[in-house]
Amino acid sequence: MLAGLAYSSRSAFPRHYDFRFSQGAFREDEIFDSALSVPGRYIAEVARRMLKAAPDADRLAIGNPLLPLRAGQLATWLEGTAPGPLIATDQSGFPIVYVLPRRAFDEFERFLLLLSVQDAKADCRLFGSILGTDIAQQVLDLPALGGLPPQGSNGWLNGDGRLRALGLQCANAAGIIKMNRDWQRVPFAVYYPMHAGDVLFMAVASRLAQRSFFSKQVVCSSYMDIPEACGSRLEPMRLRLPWISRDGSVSEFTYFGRALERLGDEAVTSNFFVFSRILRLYYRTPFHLVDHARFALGDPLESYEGTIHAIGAEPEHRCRQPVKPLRVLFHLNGGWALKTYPLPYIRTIIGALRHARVDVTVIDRPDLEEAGARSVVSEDSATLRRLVEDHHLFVGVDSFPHHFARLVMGWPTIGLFGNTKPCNSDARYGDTYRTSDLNLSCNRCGAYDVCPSLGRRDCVNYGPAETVVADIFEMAGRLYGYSA
Amino acid sequence: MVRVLAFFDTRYQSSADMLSLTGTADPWARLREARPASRQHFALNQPSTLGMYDLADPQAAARVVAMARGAGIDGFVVDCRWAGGTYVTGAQVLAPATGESFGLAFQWRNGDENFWREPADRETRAGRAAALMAALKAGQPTAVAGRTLLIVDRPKELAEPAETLALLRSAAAGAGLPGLYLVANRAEDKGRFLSAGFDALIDPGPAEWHSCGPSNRPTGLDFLEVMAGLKDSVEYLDKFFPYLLFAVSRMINREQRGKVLPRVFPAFHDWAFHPEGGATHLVAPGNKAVDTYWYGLFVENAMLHTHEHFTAGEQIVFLDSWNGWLEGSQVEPSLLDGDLVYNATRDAIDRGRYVIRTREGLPEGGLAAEMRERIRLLCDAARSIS
Repeated sequence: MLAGLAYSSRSAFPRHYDFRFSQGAFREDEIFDSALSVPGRYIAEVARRMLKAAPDADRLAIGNPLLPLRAGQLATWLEGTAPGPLIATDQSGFPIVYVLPRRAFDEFERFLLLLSVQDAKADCRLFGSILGTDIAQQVLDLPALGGLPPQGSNGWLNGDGRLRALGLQCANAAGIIKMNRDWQRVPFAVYYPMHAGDVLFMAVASRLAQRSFFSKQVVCSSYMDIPEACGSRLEPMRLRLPWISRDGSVSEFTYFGRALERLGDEAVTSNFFVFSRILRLYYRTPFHLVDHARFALGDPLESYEGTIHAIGAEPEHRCRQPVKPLRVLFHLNGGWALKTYPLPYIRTIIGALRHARVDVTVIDRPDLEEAGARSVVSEDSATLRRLVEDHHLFVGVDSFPHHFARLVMGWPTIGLFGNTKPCNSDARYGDTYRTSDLNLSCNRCGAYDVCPSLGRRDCVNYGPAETVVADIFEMAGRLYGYSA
Repeated sequence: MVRVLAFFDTRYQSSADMLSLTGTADPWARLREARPASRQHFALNQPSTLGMYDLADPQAAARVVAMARGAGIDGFVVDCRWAGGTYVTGAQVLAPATGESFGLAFQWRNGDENFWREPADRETRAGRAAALMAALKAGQPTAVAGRTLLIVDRPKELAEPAETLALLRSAAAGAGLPGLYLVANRAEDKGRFLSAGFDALIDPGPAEWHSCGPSNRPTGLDFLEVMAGLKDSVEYLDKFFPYLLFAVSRMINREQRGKVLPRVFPAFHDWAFHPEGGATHLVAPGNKAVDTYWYGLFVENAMLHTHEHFTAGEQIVFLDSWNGWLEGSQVEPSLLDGDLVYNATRDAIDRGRYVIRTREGLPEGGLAAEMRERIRLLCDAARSIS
């Protein structure tokens, strides 16, 4: 739920606007649900929508996106308040409603991304210095919210206290504005440094985005080759830290703090960093992670026609090798047990393809050489590119090589999805792209090591060997005229 | 396009024909008065936004349909029952609210009648079939392959299935219906339902088809403890199933069960119909009656499966149910859950439709049957070697 009020000097009463997070229908009252966007991005989007509907508005009141609020509630709270800019809070100073003049949205839209949305004092200070005017704090008759839950009713995640990162980015921004007279020219850097697939999605998003607040992206050293290999329009900022562990031993907030330290004073005082790690559950939406990133960068994504599923990412390319023997490159390791394609299935696929005289190459799986595959090592995107170009088809699980082959190289690809949801990281479907999975009703479970419904250590939602082999022959026949 | 049709109980109305069927002027009384007999029984819920409506009030019926449309539901499936002289659907009250984008389908409760189990002369059977068809002429029909959709609830209880279906089709033509799309309420085609003349099958409801083993497996000791008053008897008499496994089991190996349309449900506990025990309970993670995340996945994946395995026009997912209050399966906003389940339904349908749209670029056709057979043999050979 997202809500706002538009005030105009022509009318005594504000116009009410209520929005909900879209689940794919793109109705008029829906706003794209992006897991990588800070709450301030939604304040900006709500403002865009309201100003489109109410172009004469001279002041907007927008509810804190962290909270399930209705326009009617805002109107009741704000009735009779002064027209000046203000932030209405609960009794502990937690911001509930931002009431800002029109120019805050017209001239300083991207600075909304820097709001803490948890500390009204900090936000008053930030936007006061941006607008060059005092912003009042008004306490509503609302008891203290008492902290944010691990997963809020409006869909925001705070399990490891990650929303505190927004306070940090806000404080840094306030510092820059105070110290740097030329603060309006300071670039915005999106903080989304890991993992490999995420860096790729952000890079692809930067290429596709029609509107962007950002010109830089923070990237872990290990992945520094990725933005360039993916044609990113964001200048990479090297972060000399190992990427965050998936075991939760280090919180996103702690890591963000360390990252700012490691980036150094000069970087921190000459860039506005926006925390764009996962803040909502992306897999509760049907949207592609590239689109999640595009919205975070600034694209409004108001219709299906604008999504990557409709427009695709890259012109398609084909292999120039002779069609026989057919050469297929597999990547089967997904990073955790349930995301790895089941061993019996792949042994069967390799055996069947070898019987049909198909050359099978696997990335980083020497254990499959015994089954008849050739195992190769790919340690960087340049090597991966060469390997992909040397094969007619790429077949891979939901991981970096798959996304690179398809979203960056436009290569004929078959995606293998088990316990992750294809729509969050697949590609535009067609002659050169498809996925093999069974659409079981547990997809996406989100489990790592053990299937939550069957107790197995592999995922039964993966397409069986017959399906994958059929998909390979079908695609090879259609694209290359291959017949087994 | 995949359509979502929700089972709908029309008995919540005060019309004369429904009164003749139910014998009660207060159709909500049973829900109001139902009391759990065990702490393990989930309490039955009650309507909130729409209230305890009387569908005989056209405005109330219109509100119900409007709300269903708002969730992305494409139509209702209403029961057709023999009322001792005529068939009653109660669908007339909904008819004015139906239209191109919202239609009615029917479920024939043939299990309530002895007539179709026993031999009868053709003329009598034809008369009865004509009566059935007359009852289906209410509102805009949900056309499947251009025909009116009719689910046969107990297909095994038809004495002469093939002949009966032919009779129904003939009666439909006589009644001016555009034809019948007949669906058998069976989990798989072992009984050769399709060859008897059914167009498709539908997964039975949770009480009729336990798609996985129960989580409670009472022993003799349990029985003795129940008899001694030391244990809640429902642990011995009722069956409890984990919702997630129950739903997943219904989707595994679907292709091998024949042409079976999926039935999805947010929750289910039918203790109100089993005062002496024998109820079916689905238990969501955390010992909850409903988990909207898993339910949403059930809906959207069933839609995608249907899109990928059925021909256009026959792509239907059945939602059980819109207002099955006595089984806890209702989607309607309720006192205990607010609009949680309703919103989850709308969101899941939105997601399902979005994902289906992403797949529209996939090429038609595919490999020839001989090639598929060759692949099967290649895979079998590879398995035997490894």
